[in-house]
Amino acid sequence: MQEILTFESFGALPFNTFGSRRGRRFLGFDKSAPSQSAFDERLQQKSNRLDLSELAVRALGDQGRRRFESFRRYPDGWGGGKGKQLSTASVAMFERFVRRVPDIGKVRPSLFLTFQGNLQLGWKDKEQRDIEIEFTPNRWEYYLESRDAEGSVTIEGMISFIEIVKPLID
Amino acid sequence: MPRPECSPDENIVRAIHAADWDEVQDQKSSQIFKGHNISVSRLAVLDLPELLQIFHRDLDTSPNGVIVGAGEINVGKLQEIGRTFQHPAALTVEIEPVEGNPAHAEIPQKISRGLALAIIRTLTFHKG
Repeated sequence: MQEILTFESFGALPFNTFGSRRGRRFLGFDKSAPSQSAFDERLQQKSNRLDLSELAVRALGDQGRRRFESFRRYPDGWGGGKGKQLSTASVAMFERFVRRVPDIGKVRPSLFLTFQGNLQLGWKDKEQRDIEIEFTPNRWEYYLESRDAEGSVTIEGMISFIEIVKPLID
Repeated sequence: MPRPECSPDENIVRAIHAADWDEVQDQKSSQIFKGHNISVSRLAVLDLPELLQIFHRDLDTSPNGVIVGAGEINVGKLQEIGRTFQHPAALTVEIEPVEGNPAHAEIPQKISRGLALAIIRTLTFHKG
């Protein structure tokens, strides 16, 4: 759990550096790692931010941006007590997706918030078949109707997954 | 002791949160039906206005994340969708009244993301 939190708190790291020296340092396996207090401070700063990048705002369009702004205000316990507050780690995973698939805005995906506090995108392809991707703190969970595929990918599988998703964006 | 099952002739409704329905683009999230022990309510016991009142009372726990309506489906149709889905699932709707909602029932089986979206496509939506 600590590893996931640590990694996600530095969501700006390009994901292909995961496992590199730089990545391991932040995962706490390197003697030159920043002090715990410095880490805590950065984690706190990160957790106080729930903003979207310009790229993400463009991808979502006005409606998606409005929904994101609304989701930011959902408190813990929304939806009859079950819903969790929007997860900063999920936002970081969503941003990671948008950076890799900047053309996602072409399909104007709908933005959702799950009870787990995760962002999720949903849209339909040219044949009106469903595509859904939920951004959990440590993986993307997906459903691609055209491929009858449902599952999840961790950080190592994201590049391959993106190659599958890109043709579904035209 | 097994719970009694709803008849396939009955219709049920599921509360829908604003977070799960992009009304402008009319896109719904699988979260409406995805998971285990999905709560539904039986229209054979309470009518839609009564159920919407219960949904708002029990689920609008903050000004954000409110209920925006309900999705209605026939139990037999729900079961047919489960049977004919690419990865079939034998769905049941089990009667489980709770305090404050005598119409409450549950679908105990796990509903996948894909199956949930197939169910959602056939829902009749009621705003309210």
